Amino acid sequence: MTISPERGWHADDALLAAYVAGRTRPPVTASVEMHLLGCATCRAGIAALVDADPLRGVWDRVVDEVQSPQPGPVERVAAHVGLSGRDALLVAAAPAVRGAWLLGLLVCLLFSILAATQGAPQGSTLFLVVAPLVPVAAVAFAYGQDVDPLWETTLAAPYSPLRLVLLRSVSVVAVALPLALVAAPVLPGPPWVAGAWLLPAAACCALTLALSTWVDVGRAALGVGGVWASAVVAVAGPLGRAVQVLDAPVLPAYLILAVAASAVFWLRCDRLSLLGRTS
Amino acid sequence: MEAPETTDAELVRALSGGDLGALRALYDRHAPWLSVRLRRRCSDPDVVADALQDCFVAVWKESGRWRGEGEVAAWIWGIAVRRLISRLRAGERGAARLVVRRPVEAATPAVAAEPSAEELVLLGIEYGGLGDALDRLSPEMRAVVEATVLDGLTSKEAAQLLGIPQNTVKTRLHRAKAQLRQDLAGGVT
Repeated sequence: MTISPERGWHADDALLAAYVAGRTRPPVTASVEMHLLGCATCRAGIAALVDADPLRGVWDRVVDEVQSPQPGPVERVAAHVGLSGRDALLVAAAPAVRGAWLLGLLVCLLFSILAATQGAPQGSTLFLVVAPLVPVAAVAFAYGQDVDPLWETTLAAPYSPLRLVLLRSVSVVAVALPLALVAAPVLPGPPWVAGAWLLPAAACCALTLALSTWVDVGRAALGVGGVWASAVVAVAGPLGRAVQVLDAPVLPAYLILAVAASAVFWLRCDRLSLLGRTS
Repeated sequence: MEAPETTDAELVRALSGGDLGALRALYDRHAPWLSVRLRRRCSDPDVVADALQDCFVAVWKESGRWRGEGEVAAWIWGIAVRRLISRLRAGERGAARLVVRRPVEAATPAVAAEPSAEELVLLGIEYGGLGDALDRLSPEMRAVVEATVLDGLTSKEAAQLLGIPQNTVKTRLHRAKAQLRQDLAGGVT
């Protein structure tokens, strides 16, 4: 027992040893704990009594964590909505979330909005061609040999390709849709048309995913995009009445197509794991 | 008492400059007693190690939150016990979490049956008659008093640490206070 000028008393080694071993009675434990908060000497006394090996292990982990790279903004958002760290990393590594891709998308939409507001009939045609293909492009860029820097890693990882495709598609669509929605209100026609284009968008998306179980997802997206674009242009005709592709009788057809394609994708999704290996 | 060359407060301030050596020094000073005290709150050594790791990572990242007043040790303890609670919640190891500290006279008669002079002095300084009154509480009530009064947790946090509903914490604390008050009133004269 020693006396220090500012704290008065110190716990002796026997008491500290009893505390470390969990042998002190509750009031004594509480006293020691309160005392330790303010007394560096007794804290040092404890340090001498504690097994240092486990603490070294914890320190190594602290250093690892402190020195590991900080998660980027995308990963942080993804973690915020409840994705695990691993999922967040894979989503963030999707090429589609990169700035260049978003910028391209933005410019594309901007042009079609401009054209539509100028009253040019081709404007709404352009919008109707582009807007539903935005999520298709998103899906195409979500997973694939050509666009993914992590492609080999992803292939080798014990990670469901289905989960990866869906995760990335959803994340990319979540980014792309608000942009496209901004453009919708300038469309000519009744107000519900502004949202109606989401149906063909869903159909195109599901179709791309379904086709991607046969061919490379990029080709699937190109094919679906090409068919959609020519269909819109054909319907529009010289008068530019492209809004007809969103006529009420046609809309259920998109819904049926979307459901059917999703079913095909769901049934054949195990083929995804073969992508890029055989071709 | 030999004064350490750098104070804890200076070390915490050095953290914001990215000084890993300062974190190491803080760790060497505080990790041992923190690990012992955390073990008193949770019997699983793995959970305690995880909480300790989270604690020092948090100290590193949030050193700017220290207001520069009071004991650094108390600040770090506040972080550590809350990291322990998050780890317990994440792990949902309900059954293994609580070490109810019962009197251990039978196991260690030398320490418990006859408090040494040092123990009496510590009790005298910190609590006076409160120590004995605390000792007379049931383990359940004492755990609640310790979590709220000594560890400075809110009733919600205490409920998470102890794995019991928040309302139970409040009732037990209420009863414990009444009992302590009665004990102290009767014991002083």
